[in-house]
Amino acid sequence: MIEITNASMHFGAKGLMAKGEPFRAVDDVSITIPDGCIYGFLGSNGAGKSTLMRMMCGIYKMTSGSIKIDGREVYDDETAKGSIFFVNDETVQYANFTLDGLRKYYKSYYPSFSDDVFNRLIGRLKLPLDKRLSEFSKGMKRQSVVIIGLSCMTRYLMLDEAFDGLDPAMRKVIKNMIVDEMLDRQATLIVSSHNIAEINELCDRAMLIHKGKLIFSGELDEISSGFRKVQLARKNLPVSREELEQLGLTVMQSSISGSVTQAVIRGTEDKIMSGLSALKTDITEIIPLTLEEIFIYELEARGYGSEYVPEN
Amino acid sequence: MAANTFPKINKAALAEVRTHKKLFIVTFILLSIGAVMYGIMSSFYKQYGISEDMSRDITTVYSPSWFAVLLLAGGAFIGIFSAVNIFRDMTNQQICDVQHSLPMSGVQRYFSKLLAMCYIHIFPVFIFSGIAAITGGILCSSNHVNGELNLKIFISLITAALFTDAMTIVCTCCCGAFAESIYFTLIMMFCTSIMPVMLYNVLIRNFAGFDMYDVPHFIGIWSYSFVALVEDLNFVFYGIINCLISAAVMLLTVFIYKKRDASTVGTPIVSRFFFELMLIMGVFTVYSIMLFEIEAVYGLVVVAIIYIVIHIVVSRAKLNLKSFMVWLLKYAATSAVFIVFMGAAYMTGCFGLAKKLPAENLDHAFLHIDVDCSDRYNYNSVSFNCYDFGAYKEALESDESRESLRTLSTLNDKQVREACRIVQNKYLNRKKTVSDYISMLYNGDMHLLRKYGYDNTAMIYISVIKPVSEKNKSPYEVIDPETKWYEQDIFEQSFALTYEECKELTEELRSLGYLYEDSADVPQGVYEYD
Repeated sequence: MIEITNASMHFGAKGLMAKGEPFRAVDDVSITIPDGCIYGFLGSNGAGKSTLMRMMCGIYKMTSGSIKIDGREVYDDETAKGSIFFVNDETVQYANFTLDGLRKYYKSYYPSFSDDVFNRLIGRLKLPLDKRLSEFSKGMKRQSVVIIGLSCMTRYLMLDEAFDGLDPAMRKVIKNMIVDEMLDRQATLIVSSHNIAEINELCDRAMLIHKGKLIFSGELDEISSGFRKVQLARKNLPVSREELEQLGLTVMQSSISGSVTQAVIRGTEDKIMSGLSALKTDITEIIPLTLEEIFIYELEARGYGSEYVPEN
Repeated sequence: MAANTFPKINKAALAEVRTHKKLFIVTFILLSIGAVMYGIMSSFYKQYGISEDMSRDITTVYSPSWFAVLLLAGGAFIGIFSAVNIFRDMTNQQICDVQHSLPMSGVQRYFSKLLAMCYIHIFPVFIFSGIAAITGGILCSSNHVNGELNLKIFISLITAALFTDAMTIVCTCCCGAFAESIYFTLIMMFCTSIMPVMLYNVLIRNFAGFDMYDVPHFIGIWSYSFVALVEDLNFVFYGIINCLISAAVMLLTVFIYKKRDASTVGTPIVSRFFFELMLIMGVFTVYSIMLFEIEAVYGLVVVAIIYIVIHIVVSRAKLNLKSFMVWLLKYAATSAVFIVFMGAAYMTGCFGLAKKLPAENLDHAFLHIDVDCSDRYNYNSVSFNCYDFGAYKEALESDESRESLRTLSTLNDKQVREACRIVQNKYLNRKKTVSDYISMLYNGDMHLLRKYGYDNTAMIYISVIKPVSEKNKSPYEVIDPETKWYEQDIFEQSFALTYEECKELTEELRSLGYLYEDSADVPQGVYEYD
């Protein structure tokens, strides 16, 4: 289990004679990632997903808080780091390696490295062992790094935007490969992505981070059930946002078109219905939200991308 | 725990070696060719010299192949590239992501890299320089020639390699960008090698009257300048000290490495302290070089340009007028510190060093004081000696009488010191003004020769006669191979004075009564010297 407690990472506040306000890349984030799950990290560009991942595998020393893997503080702890493998969003660092060279490299560090898994996956994807990765296509590079990650047989595998830039067929190949291997050995997979549909399809848990702050985290079903889109129709006087808020509802977004009001409200269906019962409307309709819609509404509510969104 | 740690570090080090095998191959090629060439191309030649038993003889002289030494030195200096590449996790975010997420603590990772440095660079330099030295040694012994030079070359190569590696590792760990890790290393190597020797030399030469060879050995011992001590008998000892310092620096850098995490990777300057130290050293080094030979005003401009360019490079795109002004102010402050420091040295006779005299007993020491001065019309040269010149000529006439050279000097320790002190005080008691000092710096005229004239000097030489059995210098210093005695220079000091000061000094020395005097007053332009 990975326990993240009040983890913060501020850049620019370190060093002798450091000046200026520090940039809060991750700010007081607390989540728990249980064993055996597939956990999705969602967030806008620069939200702090990659920083949090780097903190989780001991690359960054956090400014405050704690990140424990199976009860051990991860930073500078070889045992804790031995149970996690991190694949970042670049492959340029492996350009001079051949796949066989990469295998030897990681085998030197991970005693649990499995040649069987490596050979099986290589055999399945038919990747050349003696060619440099710089000669590989982007998809082949990704496959290679993921194969190495899986062959290290760690209990946790972290993929930072690992599927970005890949064509749909290649995405599917890599995803299937990961899921099959991870499920077989009850390992935990942590994936960050901008592609919410992908997270929705792949993960059973997720969290949303924005400007370093945690917006929500939990099981996907739980998250989806916490938001509803409500359509209200009232003749002559449409329902305003203020009216809904006066009813104690948390309105994340609302728009009025003629006599129809459309609003995104935080809360379960029962809670929203009981809130709306005091309101006299001609039509009341409650629709569940997709994860993508939740993502967009949550970020819009925090002003993200608002300069590009026309009012109402 | 510790038993498991070394195999783990070793495995990681070997993984690093595999990753950087190209560097290893290049180093291997340079060094192996160098070692082979050293054995093949080193040669011997005959020359007239003085043999061990002090008789004139035709001796065989060993001449190692300097081309081979150059190749071996290239192998030693390639450590810069080995170190910046092995410690690339300090300057490249992607490599940092890979390496810092591996199951190792910071200390283990550092020592695995250090071990990789040993495998890629230090051990090959050691092995191939050793092979070259052994080959040279065998050649020398088969030709009955002293092969000590081979050992000195071996020590020089090892110290150069270790110094290069240590300095590069420190600088790379203090920088967050690849470019900075290279040019900061080069600047620091240059400054560390040049500044202590040059600054000390400039100070003592100008304000204490001593010459370059009076620079103590500990000044600049941890630098490439150390190789300048190659003629010293204790060269091997200094070499070992140099190696130990480099090893200690490499081991202690673990604290910098461990303290750094990935958040500073990509930032050109990680340690502000290191950056400012480098700049101060750079400014002081260039100033001391300029003051050595060139007019200091050029130094101010050259240093200012370098100072600003480094700041522009380091600040990348973040250039604005305010930061430009701040750099100029910092430069002015650094220059002010240098000027005040040099001023303090000027006012105090190099912090009291001008009053230095030999510590040993100077009874019967040979003292020679020359006072030369010139006004527009006359050149005045007075030599004060510790013996009568007639007695000296007599002593040289036969082997028996030559024995009396030892006690030719009639002076005792107190008299030698008194006479020297008079000369030193003449310089030290001179009124020193700020305007003179500014003029010195501005014109690079550290002895104020433009103001006081070029031919007014006082020089002190002290030598002692010692038995050959105590001799520990090269045979070339023996004044007469037939005698059991040799003369060793132990002190030399010279001051630029004014014409009046020279005249006063001559009178003061004359009034001592125990110095023998030779003088030559000749019209200007018709100088006569013995």
